[in-house]
Amino acid sequence: MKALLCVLGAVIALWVGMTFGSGLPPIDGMGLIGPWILCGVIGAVTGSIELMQRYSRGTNLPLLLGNPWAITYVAVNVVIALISYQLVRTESIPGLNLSLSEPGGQLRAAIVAGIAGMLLLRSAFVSIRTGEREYPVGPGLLLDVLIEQVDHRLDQGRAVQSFQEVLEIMKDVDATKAAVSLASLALQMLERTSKDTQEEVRKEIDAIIVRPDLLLRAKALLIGIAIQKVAGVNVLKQAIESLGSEILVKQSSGGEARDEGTPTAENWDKIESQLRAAKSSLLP
Amino acid sequence: MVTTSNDYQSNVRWFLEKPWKGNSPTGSVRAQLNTLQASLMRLFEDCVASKDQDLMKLSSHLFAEYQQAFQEGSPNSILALTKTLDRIHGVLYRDGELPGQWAAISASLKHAVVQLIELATTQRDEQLGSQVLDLARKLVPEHIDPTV
Repeated sequence: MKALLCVLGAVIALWVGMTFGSGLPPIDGMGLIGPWILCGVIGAVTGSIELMQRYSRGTNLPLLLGNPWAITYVAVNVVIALISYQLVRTESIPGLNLSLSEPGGQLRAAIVAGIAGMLLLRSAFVSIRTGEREYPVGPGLLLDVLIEQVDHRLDQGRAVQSFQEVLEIMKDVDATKAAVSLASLALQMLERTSKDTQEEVRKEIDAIIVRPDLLLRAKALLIGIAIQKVAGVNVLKQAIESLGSEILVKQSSGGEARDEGTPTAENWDKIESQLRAAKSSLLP
Repeated sequence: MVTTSNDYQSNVRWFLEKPWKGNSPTGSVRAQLNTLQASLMRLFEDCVASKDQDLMKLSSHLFAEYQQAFQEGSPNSILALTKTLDRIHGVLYRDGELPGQWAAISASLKHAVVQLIELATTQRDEQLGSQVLDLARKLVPEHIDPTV
C-alpha cells in the first residue's frame, strides 16, 4: 500500500509540475547551479523532517543532528534528489515535457525531480514478511537499513546522555512520593501525549515502585528514565521544580540524609510501648 | 522524625490493585490492610444504622479518605483517616458519656484503632503512631502514659 501511494504521489507530482509549472518565474541570477541547489534542498528537508518526526520524543536535537548515520540518511536523500534532477534534464521521459529551455522550466524540473525522487526512494515494489517483520523490496529498503542504523546509534548515545542527566535530576527525589504526582504532572505538561502513552508510562512506574528488590534510589532513577523517555529531560526537570520539596527526600536537621525507615530509637520505643499497651486495653 | 517505611506505598498500592489476592510482597501488611478495611466497613455500617447525621457524615468521610489513602498510596491520607476516627469519637461522647445504643459503634471504633496501631507498629511510622496514640489515649486514658 505504501509503495502504491509513493508511485501515485510521484505521478501526481509530475502532473502538477507539467500543468502548473509553466507559469513559474525563471530563476534569474542563479545560473545553472540554482536548480541543483533547489533540488538538493528538497531532498535535505524531506530527510530531516522525517528524522525529526521519528525522534521527536525525548531526543536531544544536537545528538540527532550530529549523528553520522543521521547525516548519511539526509545525504542519501539529497543525492537521490540530485540524480532525479539529472535524469529529468538529460533523459527523455515519455509523456513528460518539462520544457527546460522555457522560462521557469529549470525550476519546474528541479521541483518535480526533487519530489518525485523522494517518493520513489520510499517506494517498494513488493513486501516480504518473515515472522513479525516486513521487508520492503525496492528503493525503500535502503532507507530502512539506514534508519535502523540511526535508531541503534541514537539509542546508544541517548542512553548514556539521558542516564547522566536523569541521575543528576533525580538524585534528591523520593521515589515513593514522586511515583504518582511527578509522572502525572510531566505528562500533562505535554499537550500532545496520547492517553495510551500516559497509561503505558503509569504502568511502567507502578511496576517499578512495587519491586521489593530495588533500592529507593534505583526506583527514583528508573522512574525518572521512564518519564524522560516520553517527556524529555527539560520537562522532567521542570516538573520536579514545580513540585518542589513535596517529592524530595527529607533531610535530617544535621544535614545528613537519614536512612529511610529507621526511626529514632528512643522516641519510637516509647511510642511503640504505649501503642502496645493501648492495643491490649482496646481489645475485648 | 522518622519517614515512612520504604515498602509502605508499595504495600498499599498492592492492596488497592489486588485486594483479595495473595500477590503482595509483604503478606502480613496486606492482611493488616484487609483487616483495617473490614473494621472500617463495620464502623461505617454501625454509624449509618445509628441514623445520627453527624456520625453518618463522618463515616462517609472515612471511606473517601480510605479510598484516597490506597489510591495515592500516601501515608498522609491514613493520617486524615485517623483524624476522622477522632472526630467520630468526639461525636460519640458529645454528651459527656457514651449513650447505650452507641456501644456497638464504640466497639467498632476501638477495633479500627487497633488495626491502625498494628499498621503503625509494623511500619514503624512515628507520625502515624503518635496520632493513633493520641486517639487511643482518649479511648483508654488510664492505660497510656500522658507524657509520651
